[in-house]
Amino acid sequence: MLDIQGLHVDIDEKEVLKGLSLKVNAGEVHAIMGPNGSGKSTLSKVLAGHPDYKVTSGKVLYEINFKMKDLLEMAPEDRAREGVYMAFQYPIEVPGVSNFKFLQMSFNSICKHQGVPEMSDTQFSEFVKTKMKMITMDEKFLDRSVNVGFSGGEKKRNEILQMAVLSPRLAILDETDSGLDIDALKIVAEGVNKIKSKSNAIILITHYQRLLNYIVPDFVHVLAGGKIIESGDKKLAQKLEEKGYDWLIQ
Amino acid sequence: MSFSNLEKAFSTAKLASKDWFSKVSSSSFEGELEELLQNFSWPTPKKENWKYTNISRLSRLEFWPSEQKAPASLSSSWQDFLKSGFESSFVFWNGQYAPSLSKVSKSDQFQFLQIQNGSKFSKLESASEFEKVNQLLLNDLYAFEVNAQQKIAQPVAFLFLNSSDVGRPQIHSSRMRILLNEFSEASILEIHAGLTEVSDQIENHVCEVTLKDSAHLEHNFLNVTSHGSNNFFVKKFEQSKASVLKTLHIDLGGDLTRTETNVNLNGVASEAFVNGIYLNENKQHTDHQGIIRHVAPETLSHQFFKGILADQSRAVFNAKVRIEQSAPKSTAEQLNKNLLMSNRAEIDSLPRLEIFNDDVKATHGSASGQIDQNQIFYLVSRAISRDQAVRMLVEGYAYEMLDSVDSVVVQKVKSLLSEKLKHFKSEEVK
Repeated sequence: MLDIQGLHVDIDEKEVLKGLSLKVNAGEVHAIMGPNGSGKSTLSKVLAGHPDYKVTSGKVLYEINFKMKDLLEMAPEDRAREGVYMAFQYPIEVPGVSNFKFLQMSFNSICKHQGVPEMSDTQFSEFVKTKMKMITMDEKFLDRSVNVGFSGGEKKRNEILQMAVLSPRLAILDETDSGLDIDALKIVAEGVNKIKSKSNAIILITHYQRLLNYIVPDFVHVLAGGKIIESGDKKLAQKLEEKGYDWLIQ
Repeated sequence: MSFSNLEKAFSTAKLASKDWFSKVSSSSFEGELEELLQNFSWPTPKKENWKYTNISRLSRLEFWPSEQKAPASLSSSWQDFLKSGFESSFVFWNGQYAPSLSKVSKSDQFQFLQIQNGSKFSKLESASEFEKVNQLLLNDLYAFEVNAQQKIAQPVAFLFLNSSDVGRPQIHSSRMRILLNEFSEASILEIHAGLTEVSDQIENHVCEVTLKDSAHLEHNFLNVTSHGSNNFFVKKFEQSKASVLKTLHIDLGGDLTRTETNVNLNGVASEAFVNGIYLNENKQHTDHQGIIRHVAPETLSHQFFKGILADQSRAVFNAKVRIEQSAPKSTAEQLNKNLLMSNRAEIDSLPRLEIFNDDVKATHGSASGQIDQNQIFYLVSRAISRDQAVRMLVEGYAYEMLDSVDSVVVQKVKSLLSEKLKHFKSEEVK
């Protein structure tokens, strides 16, 4: 579904990713771990299409209708319409735009692109409320401006709500676990587990092993110095938890 | 210009507060008017408060007083607009009250009066340039009075419609006086609108408002005048003890609009919320002037103006808050924020504070910038197109100003706001 080949990325003329390669198939959960400044967040932003990140070489292929397409050629909105979703590490506040309107607009943009009927206010309201129940989120958050005045945990939960509503094929969760207490972490993980299926893939970018107690990854990768330097199964995460990253980097 | 009707009789018998209207002694008055007429000159950018608004083009034109008669009925869009939600709607055609177009319910809560020779009931001294012009050309003065203790449940609409003769530039003059007696409450929506595009027109309107003790007034003002209209609005508010004023000024239409808003907080613990929003595109120019004066102790003022400027539009915010020595324990907040959608748009923002008492709380500020690229990225990463994202963000920016406005009014103006914002494109601003 996703094939990243030798990706080099600059931000502010500084190279952050230095030849990263990764393959992800449908139905798989990949965890990417690594020390601070290793390029984890850069990877998620590049996949979502943030304009500040410049790809200097390498390829990202993404499967659309059984064909591998160049993801980097696509505008961020087109990537989203084709099922790419990134949960932000720091969700953005959007004053004056209600969460309901935002979710509906987003959902209907995808419907329109895929040629399925868009949902009316009433239909969408019913639909979104079932999703909110699933991740135990209060309905009052629909009327509030997007992320404005939300606590850290509420913002992260709102990211999971968007993911539940949009049901992406490729979900990239950028440190969704950071700043969450253990209860919020469980709820977020439960949400992710409910959304997980054979036809979609999830990339979990995380600093800590503890999220992986609740979402079990098929693969664990260590990202350091802009490259993946080690890959393994979930045992690798446990090893990292015990020993840290130093033994790998040296 | 003629003043032939100057001596027509006027009776204040119908007004509850007679002291509210006093005739200026006529002997000196006519002489003053005469002098004004002869010595009138248009303000130039050499004057400090006209520095950023140049009307030299207008001063070369000859403007004729409006003549046209009111039509038999309102256009369907205005009929729809006024159809529901309002207690009463008063419609004015080129500055003159048009009873046949108005819908006024019989009420013992308020009275409305048409006063001939209105110019005789305002003092000339301390009036600004266009206020004087207004007085020179005014036919009738209109008065709206809310009786003491009365709360008018639904908003009252005052719709000032303009239509100009083709061929020559016209000037429309109108003047309103509003009085809220003790413990009364009302919500007023004043609308200034044009029916057709005009070549050159001046809309000159003065609104004088008095709030007696503990009166509450929401005064919303909507400018949807036509392309080609040059608007000069003056709004004056006098507030007594514990009265509360909430205003929102919305500029959507006209080529050039200059608004002067003056508030005097004369009574202890009186409060004024003076807000505004302007959406300028093409070469539209708006200019907000004025002064909020804290005269009595424990008074509060909160002024917040927000602008969205596209294309080559310009805006001026030059407003002053003055806290007199006689106003200890007063609080003043003043803020002007602008969203620049183009490199060629220009804002001159000058919020000003003058404080003559140490025991007060006052803040002021100004912030202008472009749309936050991180917000755009957040929305586009959720499949929303860039254009739509920009529109949502700009709408959100504007709608924030509607938060504390009467719900009927919000419902009426929201579609007008979003209709205008549909034209707004975000240029790459660097």
